Amino acid sequence: MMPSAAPVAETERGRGDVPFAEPAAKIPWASLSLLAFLAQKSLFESRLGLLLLVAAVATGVGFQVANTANLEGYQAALLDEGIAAGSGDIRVRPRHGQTLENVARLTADLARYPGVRAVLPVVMVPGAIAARGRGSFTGSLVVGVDGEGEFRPFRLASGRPLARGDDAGILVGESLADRLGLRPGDAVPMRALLAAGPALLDEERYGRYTLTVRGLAGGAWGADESVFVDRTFLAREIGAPDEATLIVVYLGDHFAARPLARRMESDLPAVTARAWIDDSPFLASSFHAYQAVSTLSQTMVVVAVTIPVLALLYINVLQRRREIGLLCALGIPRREVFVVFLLQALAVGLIGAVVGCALGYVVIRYFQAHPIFAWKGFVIRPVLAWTCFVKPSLVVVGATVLAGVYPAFRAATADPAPVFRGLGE
Amino acid sequence: MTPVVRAEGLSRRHGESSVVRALSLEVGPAESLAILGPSGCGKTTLLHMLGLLDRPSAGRVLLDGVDVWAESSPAQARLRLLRVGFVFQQNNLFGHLSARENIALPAWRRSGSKRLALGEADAWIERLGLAQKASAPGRSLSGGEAQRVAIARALINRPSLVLADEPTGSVDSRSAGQIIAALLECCTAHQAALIVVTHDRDVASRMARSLSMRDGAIAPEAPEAHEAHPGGAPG
Ligand SMILES: Nc1ncnc2c1ncn2[C@@H]1O[C@H](COP(=O)(O)OP(=O)(O)O)[C@@H](O)[C@H]1O
Ligand SMILES: [Mg+2]
Repeated sequence: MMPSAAPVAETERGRGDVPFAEPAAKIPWASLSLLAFLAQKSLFESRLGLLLLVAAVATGVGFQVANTANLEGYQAALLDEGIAAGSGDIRVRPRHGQTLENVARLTADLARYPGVRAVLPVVMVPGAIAARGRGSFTGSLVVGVDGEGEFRPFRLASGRPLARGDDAGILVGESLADRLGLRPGDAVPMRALLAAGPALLDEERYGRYTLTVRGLAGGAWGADESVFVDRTFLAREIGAPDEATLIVVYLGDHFAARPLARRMESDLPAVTARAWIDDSPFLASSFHAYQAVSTLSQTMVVVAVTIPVLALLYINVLQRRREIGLLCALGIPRREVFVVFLLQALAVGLIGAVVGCALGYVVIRYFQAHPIFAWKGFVIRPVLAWTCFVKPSLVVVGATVLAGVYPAFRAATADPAPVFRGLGE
Repeated sequence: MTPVVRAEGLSRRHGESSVVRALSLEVGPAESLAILGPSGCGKTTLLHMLGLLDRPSAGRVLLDGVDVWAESSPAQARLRLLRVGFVFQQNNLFGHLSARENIALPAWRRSGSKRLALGEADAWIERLGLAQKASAPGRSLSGGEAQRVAIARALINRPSLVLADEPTGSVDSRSAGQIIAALLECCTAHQAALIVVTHDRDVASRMARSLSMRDGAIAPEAPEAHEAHPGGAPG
């Protein structure tokens, strides 16, 4: 049965020439492949345990991915409604008096700042409109804007935008239009007080017009209750073609607004410039609420993943006491036993993250098709961006590995003697 | 000849009870020793103390002249890896690894190379007549096959000391014969010291020497010498 030749040449190693200790506290790279092999074999042996672990991690990642995408969508919609279809990233107003002068030059100056995508002068006067054929007027802000550009302080809800120089057209706020029964195409009487400040109540400066409704406007910045006309038309009527009440600056990056506003103020002493986050308490607090909800949900996901993962990994270690004892008896150092079990936690985290991302993707696609919030053209849809996958995955994988530390530590420090007793008897 | 292993006044207490009492012995290269004795007399405990698995309450174990229980934990792991081969009575194997992988494991850890280790394992599989079972998972092997795999794994790093705790305790007599033959043959070929705990007089009679234990100490009757062998066990 047994050939007497030894499988390895007997002279290869004499007794006593093997060092007793390897350099302290080091795991040889070569043995990492062994540790990974042991971790993988051990992990895949208990299918149910692995399934539960992956399910716990994947649920956490999937939930948080979808949640992040929804919250990002909420934030984007909020900022879009409040800034891009609202009062812009930076609002430039006169430091003294009622109107900005030399608007053409000021607009050109502001457009030269880095990151500025559009500069929009706005003229605002008090006014009123009425439904045709009915006498009673409803008070409203009359806003003169260049309505053709990409950036406007409102969202076009229906109809078409105002063409530049259109002195016969008007856009009516959605709520106002609702009350007055106005639709695009209707003719509507409008009154405007063509002055500001001391001349406001001068009856001479009272303009009467009949304009055609081109479209309806919505938006967060009172657009619902305002009417919009062509700015050059309104400025001409007022008699101040190069003046404006306000200049709205739109940026590529909303979060660059505050420092840029400070810069504008110090460069241009005649104006004040305020970033949206300082000028709009509603937007600012919505934004802070978004951040708080994000952090809270992230924390809860971490806790909700860590506890079952820790428990399952710990049970796994208890079930594998015999294998741990064997590893120890075969001469696998304790720190490498620790690594074997930590690698299992890492693998669970990575597999769970991949499954969770797939799950999150499906949920995101569902909510894109069925938005969580939709009202009059203001729709919140989840954002399908890679960042929504990366951060929750990293956080949950990190939490999984951390949850694996205690079980791995217990595996590495378990007293093997009782286990060997079980093996020997 | 310097002994491979030398125990000096080894004791192990569990609370009030003394499981092993001031026991001394030594075994030289290529020498084999059977330890007999009634159940509960401390044989397993002794073997575990010799094999760096259970720390003695008192006394020393010198392995190739090194006081093993004075070494650091990583150094002890290294001694277990390179100098000691342990065969338990049963449940020796990783059930989810193949016979070949079970055998290769210590060599893989020693050499850092899976390929080399599997190569060495294959030679042992051939040597112990396990070719048909090479890729069978550990849990599917019969008692006798599993013990032979455990022997190959204990010997693959060519340790100085091989310890077997009732290696034939749970197999039939034909397998028992094969297991003991394999142990003796391989230990002699590799100049390893072999200590076998057994209840079986036949097994004991195949060892160079045997001693009996009673109540944690070596029984007073003179150790039985099966062959003319230098160096008896003191005690
Ligand atoms: N952890 C322990 N605590 C208390 N007593 C123990 C422990 N381990 C072993 N013993 C006792 O030590 C004695 C010797 O055990 P053991 O070495 O296994 O004997 P043998 O192998 O000769 O049957 C037994 O009486 C056993 O009950
Ligand atoms: Mg025993």
